[in-house]
Amino acid sequence: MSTALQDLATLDRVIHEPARLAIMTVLYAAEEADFLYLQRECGLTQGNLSSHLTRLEDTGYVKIEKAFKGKYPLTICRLTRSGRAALESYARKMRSAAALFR
Amino acid sequence: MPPSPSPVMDAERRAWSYWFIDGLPNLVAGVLCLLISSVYALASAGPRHVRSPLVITLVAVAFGIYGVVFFRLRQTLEWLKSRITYPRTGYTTPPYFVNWNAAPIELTMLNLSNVAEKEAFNMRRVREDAHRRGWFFVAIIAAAGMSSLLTGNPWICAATGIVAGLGICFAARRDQRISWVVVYGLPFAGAYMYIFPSRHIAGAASFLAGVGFLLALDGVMTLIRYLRSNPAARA
Repeated sequence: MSTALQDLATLDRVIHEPARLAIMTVLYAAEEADFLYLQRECGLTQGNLSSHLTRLEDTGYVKIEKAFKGKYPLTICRLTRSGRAALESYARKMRSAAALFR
Repeated sequence: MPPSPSPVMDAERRAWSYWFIDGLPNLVAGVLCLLISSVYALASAGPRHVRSPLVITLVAVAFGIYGVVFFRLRQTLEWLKSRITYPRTGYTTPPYFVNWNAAPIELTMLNLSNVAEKEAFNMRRVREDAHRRGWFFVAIIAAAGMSSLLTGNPWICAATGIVAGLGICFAARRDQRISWVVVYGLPFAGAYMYIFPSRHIAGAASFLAGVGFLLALDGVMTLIRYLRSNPAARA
């Protein structure tokens, strides 16, 4: 089996799920975002986003904190160092996989 | 703004433009310009009036508010946004906190084509251009004020308004944060200096007031549009 195919077989399944990939992409680009912003950007329902964030937090890819901006309570999410590394590794593998179709 | 071929670049661009979605940055910048022009206007009322305690108090108050807003600009904006924007459409990192020089290099790793890589570098260049254009705009306004103070020629402000309008028009081609109100209004802000001739400090003050009014108007229009499309959530 070629290296590209092996890479495909070892893709991170936590990130590979479309909704979680969308969440991680937004957080990668925006550094940090709150629950409402993520919900709007990813087009997910409240329950759906909540369950995906819990999964990402359990894996250690996302850190969730409660904070206040003035009197407004925020649920701020940000990628952890391992989350960024995992997304970059996922992108590298997908990149080499894309070469298979050229 | 054309959609980006890369989702990451698109998300980054949307996060960047999110800071300006409610018009508050332009509104606050406009109010700043109006405050400083009111200080100039009060100071130019004449030596007799400048000595009056009421005028001195008004100048001090206007200057104090200007100082607070200018030196606490981000905090002022965040305070406003925490009451208007975040409860409606959420929060993401303001552009001040993001290391924009580092991001595009990392982002190229997530792209699957050379087109997206090129765009990453283009975006970096656009940001640097926008930064340079911002300083250029500030320099033009400062030059107009100083020229008006030193020469007392209203034509200089008129010409500066046209140049600034063209400059902003050029900047707005890529960056749509400034609306047509400012782009087309600036030449008029300069031109009314000729219609209502005022010299020295009063000239600079009226030009700055024109710029401030345009920015504030742009901010208010954007804010109204934003509030209409994003009504407050009911408890």
